[in-house]
Amino acid sequence: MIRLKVNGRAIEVDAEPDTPLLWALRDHAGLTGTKYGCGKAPCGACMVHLGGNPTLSCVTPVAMAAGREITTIEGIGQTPVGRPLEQAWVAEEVPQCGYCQSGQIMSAAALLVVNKAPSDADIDAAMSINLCRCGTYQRIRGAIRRAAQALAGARKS
Amino acid sequence: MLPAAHAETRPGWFQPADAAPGDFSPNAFVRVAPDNTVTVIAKHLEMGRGTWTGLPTILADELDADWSQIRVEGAPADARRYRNLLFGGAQGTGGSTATPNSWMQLREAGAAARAMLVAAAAAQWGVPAAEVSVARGTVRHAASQREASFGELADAAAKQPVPERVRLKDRSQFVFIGHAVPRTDAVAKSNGSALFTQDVKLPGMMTAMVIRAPRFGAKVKRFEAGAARKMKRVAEVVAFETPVASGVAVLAEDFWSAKKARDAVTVEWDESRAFKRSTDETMAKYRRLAA
Ligand code: FES
Ligand code: FES
Repeated sequence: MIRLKVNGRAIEVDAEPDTPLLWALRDHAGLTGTKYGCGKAPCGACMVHLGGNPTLSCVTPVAMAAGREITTIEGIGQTPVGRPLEQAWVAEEVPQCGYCQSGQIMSAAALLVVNKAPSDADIDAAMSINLCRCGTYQRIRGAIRRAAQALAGARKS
Repeated sequence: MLPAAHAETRPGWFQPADAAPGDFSPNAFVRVAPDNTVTVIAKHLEMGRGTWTGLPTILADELDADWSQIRVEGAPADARRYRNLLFGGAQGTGGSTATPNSWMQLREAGAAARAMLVAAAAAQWGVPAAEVSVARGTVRHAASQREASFGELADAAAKQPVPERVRLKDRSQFVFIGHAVPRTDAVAKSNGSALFTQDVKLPGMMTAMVIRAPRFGAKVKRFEAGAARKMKRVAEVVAFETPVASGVAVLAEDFWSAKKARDAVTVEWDESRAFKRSTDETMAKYRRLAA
């Protein structure tokens, strides 16, 4: 049994230590919001936060995540940055098929935590790991800008 | 106009949708619940093109529903009710047929539901149906200042006969068709709750990982499961052959167990009838043919 802390909740998974965190979440913890795209690190569909850092869960052994804070798409909406991001994603109607969007939002959230007012270049650099086969990149940019503005407005008021 | 209401000649979609007791479902594509939600049954898959927004647009317009009360649900596998009119008898999505084959069907389905809500209200209020109007999910009789929601009328509407003919809107009356409405799948696809095929988990379901032939037409000669069968959570290692493929499948309780076991299997291939031409040879042949 490996003890994990996922979205603020302590859970135990009966997985081998070399199991990628992605499959511990999906198959053992039943959290299917995090997606499997390639399993080899170049697509970003499996992005989660581990100890606050954006992490590709498909290449991270679950044993490495034990005891550390894990945030997934199921929990990011309850964070100060995640909530306006999800709202912006809906307002801009970013998702098409939606398969890549969990990973996109997790990368965007990691960006906004460290950079409150990202430029387009900042956005492109931070999001370059995440592929979208539907090609929603322009709307992703728009949604991140919208969320950054909402966060700026919230700080002022 | 709907075809004549003769039981045997009525198309399959005149059968109601799967519904809970108390729901009003005049046909396979719509269900009005007492809580005032209107569920549109989508017979086509949503793969990112906006189908689950576009299809309900058509029905909701003829129904004069309010967009906020619209829900969408995938149709069950049932070709009798949900066949693609452009695919003969088969139920299926593809070839840009979703909207064109559904267009008249969903308009008629929405208009029929609307007519039955109107008839129910007219009967309840003792007024002529022609004086009853519907807009944005509210049924109204202006002269007597009475109104009711779809949900309130669901029970009574269900007892009305399904109309044989319905009047469809003129294009100038469309409120959703041709106008922007919010996508119905945006929220679920922005918070991780949207269900994809890969997320479906049924009781006792296994994950299969496949070792495929390295060349088209190669077949499994023999395989060595080695340690794979004895690995944790692995159920079976089997060779398979179909008209188009041959390989070895590893079945396990979860993805990673199946993947690790697959990596432990070795396969010997029979390539006697396999396609062996190289890229260079293929290009050379192409040049010869194109010359
Ligand atoms: S699934 Fe992890 S990067 Fe593609
Ligand atoms: S929305 Fe389809 S892959 Fe990004």
